[in-house]
Amino acid sequence: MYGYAGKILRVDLSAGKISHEPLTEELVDNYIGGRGFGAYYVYNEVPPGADPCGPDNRLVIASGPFAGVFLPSGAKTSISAKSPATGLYGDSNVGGHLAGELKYAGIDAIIVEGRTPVPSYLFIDDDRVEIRSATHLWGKGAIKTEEVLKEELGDEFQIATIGPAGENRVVFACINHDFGRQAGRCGMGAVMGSKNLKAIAVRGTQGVPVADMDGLKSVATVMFRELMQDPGLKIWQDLGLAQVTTWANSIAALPTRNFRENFYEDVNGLSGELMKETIVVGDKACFACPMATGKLCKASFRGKTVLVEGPEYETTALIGSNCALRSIEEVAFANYVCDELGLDTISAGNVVAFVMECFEKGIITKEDTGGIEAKFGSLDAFCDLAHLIARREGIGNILADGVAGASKAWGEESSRIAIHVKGLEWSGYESRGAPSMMLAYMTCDIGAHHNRAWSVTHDIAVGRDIIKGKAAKVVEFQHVRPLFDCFGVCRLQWVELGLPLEHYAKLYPVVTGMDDSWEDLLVKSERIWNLTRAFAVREREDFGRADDWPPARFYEEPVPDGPLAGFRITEDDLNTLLDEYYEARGWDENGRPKAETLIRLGLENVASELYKMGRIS
Amino acid sequence: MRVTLRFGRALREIYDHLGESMEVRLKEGATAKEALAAANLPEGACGLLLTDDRLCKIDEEVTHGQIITVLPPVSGG
Repeated sequence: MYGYAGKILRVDLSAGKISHEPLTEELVDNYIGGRGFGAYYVYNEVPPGADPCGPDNRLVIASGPFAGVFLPSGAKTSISAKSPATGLYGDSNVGGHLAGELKYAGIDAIIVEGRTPVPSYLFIDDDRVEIRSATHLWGKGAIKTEEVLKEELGDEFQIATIGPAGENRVVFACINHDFGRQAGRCGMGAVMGSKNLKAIAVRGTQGVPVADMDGLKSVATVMFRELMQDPGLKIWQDLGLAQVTTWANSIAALPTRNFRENFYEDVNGLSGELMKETIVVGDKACFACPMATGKLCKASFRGKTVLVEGPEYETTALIGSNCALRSIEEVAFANYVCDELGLDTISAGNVVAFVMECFEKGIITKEDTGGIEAKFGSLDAFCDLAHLIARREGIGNILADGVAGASKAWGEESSRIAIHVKGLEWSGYESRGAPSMMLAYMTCDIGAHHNRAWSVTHDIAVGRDIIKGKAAKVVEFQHVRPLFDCFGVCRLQWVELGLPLEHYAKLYPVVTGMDDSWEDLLVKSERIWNLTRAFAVREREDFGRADDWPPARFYEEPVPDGPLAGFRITEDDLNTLLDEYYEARGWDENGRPKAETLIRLGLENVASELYKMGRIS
Repeated sequence: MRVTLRFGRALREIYDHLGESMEVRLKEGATAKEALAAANLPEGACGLLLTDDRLCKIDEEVTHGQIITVLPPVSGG
């Protein structure tokens, strides 16, 4: 089998058992890799009703056929599980150097099940795999843990760790890697922590077989050459992802003060240009990536100076404008605090902004916050709340369940301003003026995340007040973009610099030896999308349209100021978007896949199971 | 005056009417924003502008013969 290492590593932490299983052609042919493997194993091995933080959940860490291969940025690892944030399928991906290292160690995916009785870490050195004690690491920050393991094992080991937030099962705890990259979303860190698994350390010395080395060299050379000659490359190398902030503000999409607004008056203090001028001290790249979007920054606060990778756009939007911080250095410091504690910066920014607005409205008081003056613009408040959340102390114990959990505790008024879908906090694009983007958030299979279908540019191109006809573009994106997560390759080179999709279509056969066309691959992506939806339908009898609905703020409140002042989206608009979307997907009016759709996608067993349960017709 | 706009590939994928470059005619004192409008690009379509290897502001005056590279908005993944 080309493009793959050929093995699945299964680790049963309860039994202390480690085993290898052959990677089957059937799995590869149907699910490609990465998130596809995650969806397959989570659907087939996590029993309905299982506690996301219980031993029955699976943590699936998977690369794909392009990972670790000499082509632009084959650097992505997908991490999947039943999410403690949503109770549904969840995944998140991380760049850096983990994906290739896993394959060099002969592993395409790790499936972790059970729970160790004592804190442990997984040690992988090619074929030598051990569950080792991590009692000396438990309680340590994620960055510190990586430092200690690198010192103990050697710098060539690639490390994935959790921080205190993961140990304490914060539902938006992330998994850290390479000192500054995270599988941030869906609480994968909490799943890892619930298994008492503090870290994974891996070193590999093997190669990755490819089907046609000359063909690979030919396609990859063209791709690298086109990237190096692209006029946009230098700006990426200079500014990284922070360049997005001022643009998002200019089009009125920048989350501001808990998404109440979408235009931030102090945006210049958060710009990528200012970041480069004031706090950037170096660049950092993932495996085989010429873009080097990672920016190492120095930031000081409360007499402490830290070195942090970032902030990139999402962090700047959610922690910066959404919490009304005024300087990029403040955002960078808060970024460090989250990284060390092991908190997803997107959700953390949402949660703190939610607290700040509830505090402003009098829904909560200093009595609730334990004396913290939780006002917009306060970095002190952000840092204090982050520490409480990571340790589930005081108000942090409520906030550790995300804005959905906290709004249940704080009542109806707070739930209208709890910005999430399905329990996952909204990422960096306020979408009242971007209907297709709104739909993308509503229907994203893991909750309110942008990476499956980033369609703001489509709204700008065809009209921001246009509702009808936009669902098809969202569906199209939801099939193309996740393919990259299946391949184990970064999509920035395509999305941002316009590297043609045809290159990736050519890469697939030369790497894997399989003759799938691009259209065949899109069908596989659609299969995976329907499988994660089927997981939700199987999981909850009442799962349906209401789970695809955005927070009330977005249809009850028109945009208050900025370039889109007065702009609004109505409930009728949202229903029109969903009706078109469900029809385009072959789902019923309640958002459940029809049996015929599942069968068309080769998911006969899934259709049969859901039909017998009375969940689909 | 005449200004040349060069379009990034990802932008050309969104807007069918764009080729690799386009020359637009503008009045003296026109800004980069007016140059984009002359190319039939809606507000917000452009992420960044580059000229002479530096960032060009949207409200910056442009000059005859200037070449501006127009890059699309980016998503960050």
